[in-house]
Amino acid sequence: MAQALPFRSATCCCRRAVKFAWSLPAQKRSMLSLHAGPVERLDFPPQLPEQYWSQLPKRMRPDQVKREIKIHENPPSEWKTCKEPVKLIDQQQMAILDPTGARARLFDPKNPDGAKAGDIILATFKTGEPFSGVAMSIKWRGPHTSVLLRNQLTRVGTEMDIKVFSPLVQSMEVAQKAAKRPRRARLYFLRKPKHDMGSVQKIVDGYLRQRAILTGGSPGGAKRQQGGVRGGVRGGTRRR
Amino acid sequence: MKEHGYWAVCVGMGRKDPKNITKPELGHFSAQEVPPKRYLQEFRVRDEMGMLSVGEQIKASWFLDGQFVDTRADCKGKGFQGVMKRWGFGGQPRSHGHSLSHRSLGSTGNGQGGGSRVYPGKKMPGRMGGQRVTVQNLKVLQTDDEKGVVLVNGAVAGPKGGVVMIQDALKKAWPDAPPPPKPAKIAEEARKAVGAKLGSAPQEKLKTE
Repeated sequence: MAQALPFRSATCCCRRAVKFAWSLPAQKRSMLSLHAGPVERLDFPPQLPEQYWSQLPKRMRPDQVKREIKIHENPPSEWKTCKEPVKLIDQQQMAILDPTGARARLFDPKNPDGAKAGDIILATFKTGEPFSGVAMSIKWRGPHTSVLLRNQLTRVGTEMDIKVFSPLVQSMEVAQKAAKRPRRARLYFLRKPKHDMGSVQKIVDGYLRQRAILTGGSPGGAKRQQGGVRGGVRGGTRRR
Repeated sequence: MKEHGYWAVCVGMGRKDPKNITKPELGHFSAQEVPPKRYLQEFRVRDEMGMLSVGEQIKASWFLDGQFVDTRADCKGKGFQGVMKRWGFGGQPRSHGHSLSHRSLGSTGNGQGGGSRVYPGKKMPGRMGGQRVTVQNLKVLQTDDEKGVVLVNGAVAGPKGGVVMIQDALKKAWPDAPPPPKPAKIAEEARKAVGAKLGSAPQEKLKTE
């Protein structure tokens, strides 16, 4: 406050001083003086000597060249050549596991003569060990297709889930097709004693006998097949 | 090592439209002479010998058939899940008087003995999944450079089309690992190191031992 206070005790009496300040007439200021307007941009003096350059911001220095942002090209994308790698690997594996495609045709859901739930299937492994049973469920998963076979070995219910395209599986044959198409895809009710088929061995033995007759173990068997069988179940060879 | 205290290779994957990248990032990519990438990830490396030159392409054949790898990816998100799915709690019986609490977590802890509170970290319902999961020691079965395929034995976290980090397995021998040094060689090297620290006199003492 420029004006002197008329009171004697000026330092300790703030309240009175404030009251005094407010009592003074307000100084009139014009609105235009608050906003001076935009700052006029001045260019640097031309040919500024080098000793002054350090005072300038780096980006404004005359020796600073504007960095060019070059966007580099991406190399050719491998994803574009193969958008479904899993499918590719599956195809490659199927070519290795089932080169003739016979097994795949047997387990093709669209094949009317193929293996279905309810059929009795005989599987022989590379070791020579056979396992037969009713197909309770067939899971179609490409190379991982599997079939669940149920049999009763000496009155003990045994189930085996066999990967159809496994290299351990030497052959798979349908010993008997289901007489009537079952009303569902998963026949887990066969586990119940009421619906249990029991041992499948007799049916499989009958099938093996038929097969032996048709194909024959001895070299003469082929000749027999050509002449003898009429209206024949040539499907015996096809099943192999 | 001096600057950051560790060695790592920053690997980029995918492609990104330049209009969706900030200018500083674009400048960084252009300075490194590398196209703009969508995903960037650092891979820790033991020392300077493991570093790659900037701009080098890492193809599928980087991994050898038969080597072991660790895979890291974000697993599938399961959303807000209850305690039975999230933590494997047993729940309560369906009948015998249990009312409206068949899948609940039951008790949340002790009474006054536990501090009259619920312990922090108590297993409760919440968001499940979507976090990074590491599956270690998966064997590489097949690699295809042309198609950019690395076939790995076993399961990898995440949905189809997810981004996965594949790295040499930490807990297995390096693919081209040299044979381990013989015990005599190790002792000799150790002696040398000790001698360098202490000085020449102690080294003579060790030799006589």
